Amino acid sequence: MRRFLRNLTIFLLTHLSFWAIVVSSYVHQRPFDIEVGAVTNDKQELLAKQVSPRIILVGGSNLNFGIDSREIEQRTGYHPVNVGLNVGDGLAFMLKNVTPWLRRGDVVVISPEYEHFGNFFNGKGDFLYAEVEHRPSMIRSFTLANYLEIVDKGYIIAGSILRYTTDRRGDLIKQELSARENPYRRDAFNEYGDLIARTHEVSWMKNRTDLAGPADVEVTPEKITRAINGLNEFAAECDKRDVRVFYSFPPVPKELFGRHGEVIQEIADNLRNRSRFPVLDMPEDMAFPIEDFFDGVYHLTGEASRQRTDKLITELLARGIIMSPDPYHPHP
Amino acid sequence: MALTSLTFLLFFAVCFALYWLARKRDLQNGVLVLFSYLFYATCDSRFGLLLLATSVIDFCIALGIARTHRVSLRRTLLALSIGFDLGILALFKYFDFFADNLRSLAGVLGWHLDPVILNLLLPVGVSFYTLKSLGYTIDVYRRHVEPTSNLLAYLTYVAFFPQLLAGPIDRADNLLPQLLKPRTFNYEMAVTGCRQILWGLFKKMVVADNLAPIVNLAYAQVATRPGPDLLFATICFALQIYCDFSAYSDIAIGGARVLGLESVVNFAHPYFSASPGEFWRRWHISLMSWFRDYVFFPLGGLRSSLPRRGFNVMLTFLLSGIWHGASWNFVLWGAINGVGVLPAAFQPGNRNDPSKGASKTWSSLLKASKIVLTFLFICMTWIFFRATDLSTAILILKKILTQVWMAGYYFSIQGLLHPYDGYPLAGKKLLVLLLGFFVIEIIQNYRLVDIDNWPRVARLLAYNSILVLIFYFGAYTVNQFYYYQF
Repeated sequence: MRRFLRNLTIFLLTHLSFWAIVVSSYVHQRPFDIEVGAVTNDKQELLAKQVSPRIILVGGSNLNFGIDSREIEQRTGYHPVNVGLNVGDGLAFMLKNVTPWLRRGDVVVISPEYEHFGNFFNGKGDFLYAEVEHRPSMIRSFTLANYLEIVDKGYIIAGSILRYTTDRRGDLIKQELSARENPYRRDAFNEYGDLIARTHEVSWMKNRTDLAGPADVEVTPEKITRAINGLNEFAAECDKRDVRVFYSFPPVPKELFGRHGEVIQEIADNLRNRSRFPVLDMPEDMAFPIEDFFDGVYHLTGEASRQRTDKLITELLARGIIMSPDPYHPHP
Repeated sequence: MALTSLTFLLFFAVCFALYWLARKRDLQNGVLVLFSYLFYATCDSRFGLLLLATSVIDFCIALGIARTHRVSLRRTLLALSIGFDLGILALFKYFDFFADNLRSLAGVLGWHLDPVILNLLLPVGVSFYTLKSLGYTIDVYRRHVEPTSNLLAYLTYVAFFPQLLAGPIDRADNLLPQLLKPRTFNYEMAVTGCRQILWGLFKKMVVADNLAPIVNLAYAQVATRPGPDLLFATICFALQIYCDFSAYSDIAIGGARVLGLESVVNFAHPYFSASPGEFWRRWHISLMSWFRDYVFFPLGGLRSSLPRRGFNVMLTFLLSGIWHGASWNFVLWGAINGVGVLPAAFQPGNRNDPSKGASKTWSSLLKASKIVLTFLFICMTWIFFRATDLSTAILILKKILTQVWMAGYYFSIQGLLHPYDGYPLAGKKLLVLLLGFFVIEIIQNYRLVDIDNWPRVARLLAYNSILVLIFYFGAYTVNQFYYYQF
């Protein structure tokens, strides 16, 4: 056994030395500070520092593309923090990530993508790993399932690092990021965490018919229950801290209701009947023409994002979310 | 949990540590049972009880068979075991198929039948562990194997996690005696086991997974694809299924060896076979030997009249076909393979080798052409295995046979070799790697190189290179093994 372990260790050490070279080259090549992933750092900083009273928007990239935070601030008086991450980060992680930063008087609007009621609740290993690459301290917000997801994708993550390094992909990415029409870069976001790059006014989704959506990610009654339980637990925690929680459906193309309509309806019915927090709207309220989407079913173009924000503000105002002079008792 | 995931590697490492820390037999078996059921729970937590029930019932029946001398009681107990094991398969795997066909048959006869359709989920690995357990009770009945009174060892035998989901279907006379003794660590076994695991990972993650999108695309567009595309995709599928399934066996056998257990060989470079009969002695050996010993020989095997031999061969292959899946595709697949084996069955003693007395070059050429023809025949059978239904399979075959001669169609193959999203190996790189893989297969088949004789540094370099290739060319998704569905 000793001989086996010794030889296995030698093998692993030689392999690790190879990886040490690969990783050092990878770190050197990769433009971490200008990539879109770096915006996670900015959002986390904002989450820690934004002054009260705050509206914290929790969800995936539908929030990055679909919210006009400045409008929210002007009309409600609340200071927005758009913590829109990536759908692949999973709802469990998104909720756990904001929990330590909640303050008394905060308003949280949760707007997860429909996929979180299916296979995406615990996220996908490669997406979660990407978050940690940009901000290692985010590992503290991982659930056990998140760790397992990352381990499960270990080979794939390692493979992507290796290919990135040998293909000198860093150089290509630097070129792409220098092209101003690419909205996937750190400086495409404003100080609230909204993606405001001007080019996303143009729809790339026109004439698309093969729309991916929740029907593709095994939404089952058990998975819907898991997501709603997670949301209810989060709402209970918020309740303890005097934080108000609302739910708003993400924007989707009207065309998505074709193949995915039944699943969306099932999710909405469950939310209406079993959630312990107010649901601000219905899925149909957030349905937009496909021309209003930029490069994905949740990514609105500029004008549509203002319409969505308007709907959201109207619902929030109707529920008394408007600034009062006392930030610790903001609800009139 | 996929065997190709890092999670499995960590799971296996923890099992390895606990297993070798436990030096007593029952503790070692206890660790294996615990990890096997944990492993099964990660794949399909709903059917763990079914696995346990199958094991316990067959264990008790085997003890009952051994303890009585009354022939009628022994037969009754054996029938009970066969009924239970095949009943599980019939219920979960075949009920809906037969009900559906009964309805169709009744419709043809003008009757209206509305049989119940259960729509049950197929428990993962059920086709494998039921054969394993059933083989044990039959062996005990035939007095080929001494029944064990050690339930823990038997539970380990049936649920042994590296083999649980897709074999090899290790027989009780091989694995059970090993589980009834305490195991001591064997360096040579562990090293060859690790090597086999590494090679299995390469075959699955680099070759099989990167061929999958080509096959999937062509087989999803049968109506619009020309014959040469479908021929190319079928050859790719032949390599995909070999690399996929033999990789699972490599990881399972290698894993067993690291744990000090010698498992049966399941693949012996089958595409170097010179006849369909030889192919089936080298492909999925544990399944085909199971059918040989428990179906073919009891029917009379080759020691019977010519028509009876033909019947025995055909029935065995039809059963092996339907074992793979409840559909007419698999039945026909089994039948075609049976027909391919029939000539050898009709002339079992005839070793009239046409190359006898010929020059070495001529006999080599003859053998090579036989290998190529056998490969093409097997590829033809794979069409029925892979196609979604019978009419699609027939359409593919028709297109290949009618359009394969038209040179102009071959340019469209390039359209299948484009890069696929999430699969890093494509185009020329894929063809080069396949060529390299083919050379390695030749080296392994004819034992041209013995890696144990290499200098240590060269071995270290080879292992590291394979691992780097796995990382570099491995698909971006954790793909399950093809045989999990059976």
